[in-house]
Amino acid sequence: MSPIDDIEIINRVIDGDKEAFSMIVKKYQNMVFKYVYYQFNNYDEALDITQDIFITVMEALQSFRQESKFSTWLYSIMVNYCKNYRKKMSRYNTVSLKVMRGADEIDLQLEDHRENPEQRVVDEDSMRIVKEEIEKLPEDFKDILTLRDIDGLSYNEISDILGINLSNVKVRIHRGREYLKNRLHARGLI
Amino acid sequence: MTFKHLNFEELSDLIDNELSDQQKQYCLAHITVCEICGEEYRSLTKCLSLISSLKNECITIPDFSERTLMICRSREKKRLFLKAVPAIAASVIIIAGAGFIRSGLFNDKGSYIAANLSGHNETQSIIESISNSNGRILQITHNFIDGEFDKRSLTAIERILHKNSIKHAVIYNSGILVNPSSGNIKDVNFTTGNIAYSNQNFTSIENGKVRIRIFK
Repeated sequence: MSPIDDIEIINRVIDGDKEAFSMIVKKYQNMVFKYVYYQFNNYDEALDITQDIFITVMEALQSFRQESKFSTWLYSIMVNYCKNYRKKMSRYNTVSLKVMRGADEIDLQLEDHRENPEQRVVDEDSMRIVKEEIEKLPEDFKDILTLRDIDGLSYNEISDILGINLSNVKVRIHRGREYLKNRLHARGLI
Repeated sequence: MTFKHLNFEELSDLIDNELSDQQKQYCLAHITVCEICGEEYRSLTKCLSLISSLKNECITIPDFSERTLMICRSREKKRLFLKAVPAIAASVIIIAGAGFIRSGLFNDKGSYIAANLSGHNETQSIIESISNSNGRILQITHNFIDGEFDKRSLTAIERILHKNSIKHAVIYNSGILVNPSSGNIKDVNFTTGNIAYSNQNFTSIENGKVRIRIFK
C-alpha cells in the first residue's frame, strides 16, 4: 500500500467512513506493536498501549495536515505516547512481572530449516538478552535505536518524528549504539 | 596507510552508508589492515545485526481494528452526549421557566410572587367547583369570570366565595343581577352598559341553572 493509498483511506475516514480505518490499523498494527513491545518488553502492556495509540490516532485524524507521510505522523504519535506513558509510569513504584508473552498466545509455526536445535536455543537466549538491554537503554537512545535499527527508518524520517535536527539524530544514534554495544559485550553476546 | 584508529562515529556512519565515497574507501581500507578497528567494526556489525533481527521476530498479536473502531464509536457517543448536556439543561430551564411564567409563578417584571399563588389557587378552586357542579365556565376576562352551574350547588360555591371574601354577583334566570352580600347591583360596580351586555346572555340561562360573575 503506497502513501497515496493511506491518504485516500484517511480522507474516507474523515468523510465519515469510519470502518475504513480498520485498513490502517491492519497495515500498521505490527509495526506499532513491535515498537511498543521493545520499549517496554512486556507483551500485555504493549497490547494495551498499541490499542490506545490507534484510538488516539483515529481521534486525532482530523488534525493530520497531510504535510508529511501518514506513517511519519503515526510514528510521532506512537513515540510521544510511549514517552508520556513512561513518564506516567515512572511516578508509580511498579514491580515488573516480566510477562514476555500472553499466556494464551499461540506462536505462528514456521518451518525451521536449521539443522542444529541448540542453535535455536542460543538464538532465543540472545534475543532475550538483546530485548532486556534495549529496555534498559536510556529513553533517548531507546527511541532512536528502535526507529533506526529495528524499524529501519532513515535519518530524515527520524528527525521528523522526534522533532530534532539531523546532526542530533546522528549523535544520538552513535551514542546509543556505542552504549548498547558495550552492554551486549558485557553480557558476552559480542 | 595511516595508523590513526577510526572513531566509533566513523564506523557507525560506515555501516549506515552515511560517509562520502572517499571517506568510505579510506575506512574500508583501514579496517582491513587494522586489527583493532576491524574487530570494532565486526563487533558493531554483530550488535546491529542482533538488534535488527528483532524485526523478524514472530510475535502473534490480535487484530486491533475491530476493537479500535468499537471503542472509538462508544467514545464518540459519550462525547456527543456530554456535548449535548448543556443544551438539554438549557432547554429544560427554558421550558420550565416558560411554564412558570405562564402559570403565574413570575409576574411580568419577572419577580417571584408566591403571595399571589394563593389567589391563583382560589380562582382555580372556584373554576373547579363550578366544573364539578355540573357547570361550565362561560368566559374569563381580566376582571371577572362568568360561570353557569346547577342551582343546588350555589350554596356550596357561595360558601367558598364568602370564606375567601371574593367579590361576586349571582344572576338568576329572571335576568336580575343580584349582589348576594348587599342585594344592590351598584355595589359590584356594574355599569348600565355591562348590565345591558349581560342581559343579552342572561335570557338564555337554562332552567335549574344559575350564573355567577366572580370578580378578580
